Amino acid sequence: MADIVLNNTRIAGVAACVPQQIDRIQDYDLMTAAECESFMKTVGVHERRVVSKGVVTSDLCAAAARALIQKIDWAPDSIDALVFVTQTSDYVIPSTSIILQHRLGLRNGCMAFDMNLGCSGYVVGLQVASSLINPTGIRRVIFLAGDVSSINMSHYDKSTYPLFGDAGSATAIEYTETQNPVFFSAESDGKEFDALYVKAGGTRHMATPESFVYKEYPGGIKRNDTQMILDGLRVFNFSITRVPPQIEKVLQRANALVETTDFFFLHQANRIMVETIRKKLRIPLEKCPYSIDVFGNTSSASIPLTMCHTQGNETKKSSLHICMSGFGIGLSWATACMQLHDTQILPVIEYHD
Amino acid sequence: MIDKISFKKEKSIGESSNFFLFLFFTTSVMELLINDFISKIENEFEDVEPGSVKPATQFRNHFDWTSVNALILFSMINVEYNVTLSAEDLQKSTTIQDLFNIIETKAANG
Repeated sequence: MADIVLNNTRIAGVAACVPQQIDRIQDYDLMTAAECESFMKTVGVHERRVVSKGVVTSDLCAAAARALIQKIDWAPDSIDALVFVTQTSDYVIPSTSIILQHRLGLRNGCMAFDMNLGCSGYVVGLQVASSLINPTGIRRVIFLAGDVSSINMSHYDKSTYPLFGDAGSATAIEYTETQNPVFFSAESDGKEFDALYVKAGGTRHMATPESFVYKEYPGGIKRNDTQMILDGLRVFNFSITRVPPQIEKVLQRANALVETTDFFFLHQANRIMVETIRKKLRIPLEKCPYSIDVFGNTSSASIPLTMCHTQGNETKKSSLHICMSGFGIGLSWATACMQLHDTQILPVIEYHD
Repeated sequence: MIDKISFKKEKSIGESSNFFLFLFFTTSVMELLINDFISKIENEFEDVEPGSVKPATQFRNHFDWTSVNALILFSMINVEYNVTLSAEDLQKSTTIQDLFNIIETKAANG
């Protein structure tokens, strides 16, 4: 079981970065005005941020990391590891994290690796990055997570195109002498991998000219095999069945209750999915912040982005009890419960080309 | 709620000395339950006129039936009855009664 507790780590700071360009749902030419209205109300996206040509995930994450490191006053050579969670890496090989080590001016003695995860990626990545912490070795980790999902979507696919937004994030994790238990649980179900995937471009189905030919699907959808396929109902059913018991389990292990938790930062999959989970767990609306309305579903960046969007300011957070849960592509789902100590949450940063 | 009712039903069968009372009791309870389901649906969909939905209503014709509305229905059923409907369940259902029967069966089977 990947259920663990780590006692001597803390989140020193969180930052998130989004592109400047706004795409509004009401301007999406493939939906009628009534469809747009229903989409905004139920799916919850009113607008989202998309990168301009040439801007990639590592650019957004690097901007977030620079702002964060400066704000919390970390010397670049005090960082011992860099972990990068993304499904939109710069190159097929090598790992983008290694390129980021150089771009951020970190020393060669810094370990760096990528993790290919999406919606659950922030929480699984946080668990892995925090697990690296060791008082005699790795004491500081910079953990980056994000995606430019807009690159993988077909404009002619109403089930994906208006849903996903682009964002990057940076989280600073460090060793702490003070006992600070952080509870994690991560689970996986690869049987359902094709509920949300891109078929061509990997080694099992290598990209050929045929992969780029648009095909028609029910509901007037057109996409090619290098673009994202989303079976909304399957992902919805998976999330509402698997996520609430996992959150309950981690709360119980942390000896916490909904009443004693200040905020639940849930992956911004779509509003109705998050609302169903929220209602099943009887979490009051004010404890469940949203960012999907203005940023869309931002994959592994959605949790830190929601934190920055709703809690980002000059005041460091102490004694705040939070629970976070990421769920989706894989299929994969993960939850963490912790108390923040002296954590700097920056307001959302806009990326300037 | 469904669990409580099925318990009552079993108890009624045990008291089979009054078969007609049992029939009356079960029928009215069933009506109550489906009416409750209907009012939950009417609450969820603003465009649906209260009182316009009946057990025999064919939901695809009555609602503005889209995948978004399907999610609203699935969400309500999951929150209220702790039952997860599948795409196949939806495919084989035509009326509100069909949906309700599936919810009952799934709730009874845990």
